[in-house]
Amino acid sequence: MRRSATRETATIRDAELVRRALAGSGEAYREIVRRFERPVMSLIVRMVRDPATAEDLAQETFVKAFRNLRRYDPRRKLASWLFKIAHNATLDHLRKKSLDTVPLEPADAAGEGSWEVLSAPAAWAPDRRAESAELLAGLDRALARMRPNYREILLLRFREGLAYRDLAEVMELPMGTVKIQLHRARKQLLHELEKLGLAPAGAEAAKQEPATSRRVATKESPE
Amino acid sequence: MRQAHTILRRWLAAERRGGAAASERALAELLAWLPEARPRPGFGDRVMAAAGLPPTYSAVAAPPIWLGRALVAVCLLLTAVAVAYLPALAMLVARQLTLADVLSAMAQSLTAAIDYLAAAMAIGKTFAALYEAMLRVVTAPPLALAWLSTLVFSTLTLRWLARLLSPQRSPRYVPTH
Repeated sequence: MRRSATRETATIRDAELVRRALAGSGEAYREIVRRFERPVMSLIVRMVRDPATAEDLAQETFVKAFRNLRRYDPRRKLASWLFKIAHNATLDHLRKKSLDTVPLEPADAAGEGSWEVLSAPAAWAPDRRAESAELLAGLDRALARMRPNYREILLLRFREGLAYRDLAEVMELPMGTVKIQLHRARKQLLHELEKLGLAPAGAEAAKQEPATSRRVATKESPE
Repeated sequence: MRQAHTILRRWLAAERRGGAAASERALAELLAWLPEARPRPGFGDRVMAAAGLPPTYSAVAAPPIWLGRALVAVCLLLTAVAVAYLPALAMLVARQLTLADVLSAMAQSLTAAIDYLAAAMAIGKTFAALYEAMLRVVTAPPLALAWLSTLVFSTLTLRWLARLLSPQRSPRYVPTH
C-alpha cells in the first residue's frame, strides 16, 4: 500500500506535490527531497567546492523551502524556486567566507577535492567511466577556476536547463544582464580550458578547424 | 568511442564560429557529462528531522495490515485446537511409560550433567593457568610501563579524534542561522 503511494508520488507534478505536502503528507515532503536533492547538491558542491559544506547548505535549502512552502507560487517551477533558495544560501556562505569576488582556490588546486567526490567511478555509467575521466576532470577544474557567478549561471542554464526567465528570477538579475553574463561565462570557460590545455588557443584552433565546419557556420541563422 | 571529446570539439568549433544556438546546445550536452553529486545516505531523514517533520520510512517489507491480522487469527485457531488435544496426548504418553523408565532417564540425565560439569571445570583450569602466566608477564615493570603508556596515548588520540568529529555532522543537526 505504502509502496504504491511512493510510486504514485514519483509521477505527480511538482505543484500537486507541494499541495499534498501542505496538506500534511510526509511522503510528499520526502518526494520533494528525492526529486531535487541531486540537482541542488550538484550545483552547491560546484559552488563551494567542499562536499560536507555543500551537504549542509543543501539541507538548509530544503529546510528553508519546507518552512516557507506556503509562499511557493505553483505557476513557477519548483526547481527554480529551490535553486533560488540554494543560490541565496550559497551566496550567504560565500560572503561569510569573503570569497564571492575572487577565485575560490589557487589555480593549481582548484576543484581537486570536490572532483574526487563527484567522480566516484562506481556511480557512473560504464561508458562514461571508461571514457573521458581526464577530460571531465579538466572541465570541472576549468569550472572551478571561473568566477562564482559565471560558474553558477553556466551550470543553471546548461546543466539544469533553466530558461532565461527562470535564471533572471533565481539570480535576481534583469534579463539583459543574464544574457550578457551567460555570454561572458561561456567565454571564460573557453579561456580556462585553453589555459588548461584542453582547448587549442585561438589561432591554432582556426588552423585545425575544417573548412566544412566554416561552411556550415555561414549557413547558420544570426543569433 | 570518445563522445565527450567529440562534443567538446563541437562546442569549441561553434563557439569560435560565433554560432550561439549551436554553441549552447553543445555546451549543454558537454556539461551533462559531468558527474552528479549526491548527498550521503540518510539525507532525506536528516532534512525531515531538521525541518521538524515526522520521519517517513520506505515500506519495502511492510505487509498490509489485513495480512497480519489474518496470520494472528490462524495462529490462535491452531493453538486452540492443540490445547483441546493436549489432555488426550498426555494420557497416551503416560500409558506408554513406567515409573522405572522415568527413574532411569533421570539418573542418566544426572550422570550426563556431572560429566559436562567436570569437562567445563577442566577447561576453566586451563584458562586460569593461561591467565596467571599472562599476568606474570604483563606485570613485569618494563612491560607494564609500555602497556600503560600505550593506553594513555590511545586515550589521548581518541579524545583528539572525537573533537575532530563536528557535532554538525550528527543526523540531528539543525542549522541555526
